[in-house]
Amino acid sequence: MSFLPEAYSSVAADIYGVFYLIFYIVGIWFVVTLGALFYGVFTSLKKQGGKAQYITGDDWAQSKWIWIPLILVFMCDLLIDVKTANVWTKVEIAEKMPQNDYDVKIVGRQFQWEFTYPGPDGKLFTEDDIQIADGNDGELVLPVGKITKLHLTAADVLHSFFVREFGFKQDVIPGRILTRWVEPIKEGRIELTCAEICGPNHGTMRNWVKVVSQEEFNSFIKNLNSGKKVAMATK
Amino acid sequence: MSAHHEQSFISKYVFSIDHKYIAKQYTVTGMIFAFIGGLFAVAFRTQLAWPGTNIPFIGVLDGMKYNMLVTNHAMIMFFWAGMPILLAGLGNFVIPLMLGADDMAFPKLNMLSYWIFFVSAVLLILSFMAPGGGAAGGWTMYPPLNAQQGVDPDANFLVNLWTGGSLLILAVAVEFASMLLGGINFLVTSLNMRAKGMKLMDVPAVVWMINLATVDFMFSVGPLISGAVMLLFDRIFNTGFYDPARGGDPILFQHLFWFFGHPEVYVVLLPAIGIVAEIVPTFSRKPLFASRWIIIMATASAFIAFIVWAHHQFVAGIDPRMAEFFSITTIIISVPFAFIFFAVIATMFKGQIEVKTPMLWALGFLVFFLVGGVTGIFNGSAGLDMYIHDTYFVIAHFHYTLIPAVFFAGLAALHFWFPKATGRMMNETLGKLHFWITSIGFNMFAFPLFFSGLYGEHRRIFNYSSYQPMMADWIINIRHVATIGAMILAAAQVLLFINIILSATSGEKAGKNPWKCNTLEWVADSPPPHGNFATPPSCYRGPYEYSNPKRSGSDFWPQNEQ
Ligand code: HEM
Ligand SMILES: [Cu+2]
Ligand SMILES: [Cu+2]
Repeated sequence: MSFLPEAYSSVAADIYGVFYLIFYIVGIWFVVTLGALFYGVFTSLKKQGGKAQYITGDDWAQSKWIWIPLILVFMCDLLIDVKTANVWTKVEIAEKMPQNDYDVKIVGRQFQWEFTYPGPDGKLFTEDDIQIADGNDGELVLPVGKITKLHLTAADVLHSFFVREFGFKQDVIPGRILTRWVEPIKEGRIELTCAEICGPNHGTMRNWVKVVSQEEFNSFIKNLNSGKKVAMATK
Repeated sequence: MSAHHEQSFISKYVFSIDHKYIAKQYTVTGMIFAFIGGLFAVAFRTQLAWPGTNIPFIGVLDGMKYNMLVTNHAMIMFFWAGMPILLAGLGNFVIPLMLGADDMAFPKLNMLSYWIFFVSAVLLILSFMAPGGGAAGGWTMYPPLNAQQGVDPDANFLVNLWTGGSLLILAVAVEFASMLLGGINFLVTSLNMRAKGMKLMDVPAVVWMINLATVDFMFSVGPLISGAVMLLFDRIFNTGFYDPARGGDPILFQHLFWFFGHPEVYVVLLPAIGIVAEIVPTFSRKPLFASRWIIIMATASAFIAFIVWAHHQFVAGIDPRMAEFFSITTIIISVPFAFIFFAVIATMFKGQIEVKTPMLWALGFLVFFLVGGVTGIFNGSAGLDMYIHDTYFVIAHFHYTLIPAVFFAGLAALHFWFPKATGRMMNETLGKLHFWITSIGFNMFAFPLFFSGLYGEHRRIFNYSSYQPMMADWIINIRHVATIGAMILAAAQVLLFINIILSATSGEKAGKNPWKCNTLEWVADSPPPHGNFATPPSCYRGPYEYSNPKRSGSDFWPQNEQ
C-alpha cells in the first residue's frame, strides 16, 4: 500500500515494517473472524419448525473451538510485541543510539519551530550557538547520510516534532531536553509539523526540513557562522 | 423495603426516586447531549471539508473555535452521553429489574445522583458562555496549555474561575461525583438485593459488565480528580504544579489523566459488551457460549485496563523503556476481548436467529467493533505508534470502538428494553431503516480517515491549507466523504426520534415478555409499576437456558420458573 509517505529517514522503513506485519496478521484475523460471524449468522437463521441446539460451551469438546484460536491470537500478539519492541529500541532507546556526526537543538514555540546550530566552536550548548528563528519559514537543514542528534524542547507549552517522512514524532516539553536521532536518506524539502495541540494556531504551525548533500551542508554551516543568509536569534 | 404508594407529580416526575424513572431521565438527557455532541462534530467536519463555511450560530471556525468544538465534542460524548446512557441509564434500568429487586439499595441517593449530574450539565453549558468561550485545549486537557489558556495570572481567582477551561474542569468533577454515587448504588444493590436463590454466576452478563465498569471507574477516578484539582489550582490560584519553570511537571498530569482515561474507555465498552451478550442468546435461542468464562475474561480485562495507560504517552517524553512494558500489556489485552468476541460468535452457530432490530444493532456492534479492535493493535504497538499517534488513524480507530459501543450497543439496548420501559414495541421497519442509514453514514465518516491518517494527516487542525501534502486531491475527497458521512449519521437520528415518539404513543402493546427472554425483568409488567414485582421473584437457574432439551414445550426457561 502506498498510503504511507515516502521514507526520508533510515528508520522509516523499519517503522513501516511494523505496520505491514500488523496489517497482514490482523488482516487475516479480521477476515476469518468476520467470515465466521457471517457464516454463523447466515447458516443459523430461523427456519420454520427449526430447533436451536443446546450448546453451552462449558466442556472442552465445544470450547476448544474458541480456546485454540485464542492461543493463536496470543502467539500472534507475542510476534507483534517482539517486532515492535525491536523497532522501538532501535529508534528510541538511548543506549542504542548510534554515534552521531552533528547536533542541533530544536525548540517548539507557539506557533513555529526554531533551530539552533553549534557556532564556530562546533559545539552545541555553548555561548556562540546560532539560532534560526524565521517564523514559519525557518528550515531545519540536515546532511543526507549523516546522523544528527536532535535535542528537542519547548519554550511555552507542549508541541510535537513531527516529520511525516521520517516516520516518527516526539512531543517536546518545556524545561526538558529530549534527545532523538535521525539519519536522512534522501535529499529534499519536507514539512515539519506540530502534532500536539498547542493553542489556537496549532493548525498553522509548520516549518521545513531541508535534507541536503554534505557540500551544501558545509556551506550552510559556513554561511551561518559568518552571519549570512540567516535571520539571527533575537532571543 | 419501602412502601410504594401514590406519589405527587413532583415526586413522580421530577425528584423521582424510582430507579426506572431515573434511568429514563439519564437516558433522555444523555441522548440530547449525544445529539449536541454530534452536531458539534458535523460543524467542525464542515469546516474541514469546506473551510470558511459560515456555520449557523457559530460563524466561521477559526483555530480557537475549532479547538473548542473538538474539545467539547469529546467531553460531551464521554461524560454527558456515553456514561449517562450506558452506565447510569442502563444500569439504573436493568440492575434492580434483572436482580428481581424492588428498587436500588439507596433510592434517594439515586435521585441525588441524577440531580448532581444535572448540575454538571448546567456547568458544562455555562462553560461555553464564559468570557473567551469554552475550553479549547483538547479533551485531554494537557498542561501547560490548559493551565494557561484563558487565564490571566494577575486577575482575581473568581475571574479565572469564570473561564471555559476552569468551568469545564468543575463540570467534569461534579459529573464524576454523580457517577460515583450511582456506582455505589450499583455495587450495593448487585451484592445485596439479588432475588432469592440467585448466585453470582446467575447474574446476567450485562449486570456483571456494568458493575465491572463501575469498579474500573471508581478505582481510576481518584487520581484524575487530584490531577484535575491541581490543574484548576494552576488556573485560578496561579500555583505551579504543572509549570516546569516553578518545579512542576506537565507529564505528571498526563499519567493521572490516562490512569483514569484508559479505564474510562472500558467504562463505556464493558456495558456495551454486556448488552450484546444478552441480546445475542435471546435472538439466537441458544445459551451464551462459555458464559462463565466470558465473565472471567471481562474481569481480567477490567484489571489489565489499569496497566496499559501509558500507551497514550509513548511519544510524550516518558522514559522510552517504559513504552516497551506498556506496549506489551496493551497488545496482550486483546486476548480477553478476543475470547469474548469468539464466544459471542459461537453463541450464534446452530441457533435459530431472528434478526429483529435489537439483534441487528447488536450484529452491527460486532462487525464494526471488530474494525476498532483490530486497529487498536496498530496503536498499541509503540514501534508504529510513534508514527500514527495523533493522526486521523487514531481518530478512525477510536471512533470504531466508541460509536459501536455508544450508538450501536446503546441503540440495541434501547430497542431491546423499550417494550419493558414503555409497554409498547418499537417500529421494526423504521428501526431497520434507521440502522442502515446510520451504518452507512458512520462508515462513510470513519473508514476513509484510516487512509488520510496513514498518510500522516495530524489531528486537531482547523484548516489543512498550511500543509501541502494534506491538500492532495484524494485527501480532499476523503474529507468531503467523511463530512457527508457525518451529516448522514446525524440526520439519520431523526428517524430514531420519530420512532420513539410514534412507538411510545401508539406502538403495538408489548405484553410482559415480547422477546421470550429468561431474565427476571421480563417477569414484571410492562412497564413495571413502582416497586417492580407483584411478588418478589425467586431464581432457580442461570439466565441463558434457551432450547434446553430438559424443558419441554418451550425454547426458553425463565430464571424464576421451577
Ligand atoms: C456523530 C458521530 C461522531 C462524529 C462525526 C465524530 C467526529 C470526530 C472527529 C472528526 C474528530 C477529530 C477532530 C480533530 O481531531 O480535529 C473527533 C474527535 C473525537 N471524538 Fe468524535 N465523532 C463522533 C462521535 C464520537 C463519540 C460517540 C465519541 C465518544 C464516546 C467520540 C469521541 C471523540 C474523542 C475523544 C475525540 C478526540 C477529541 C480531541 O482531540 O480532543 N466521538 N470526533
Ligand atoms: Cu501544535
Ligand atoms: Cu488506552
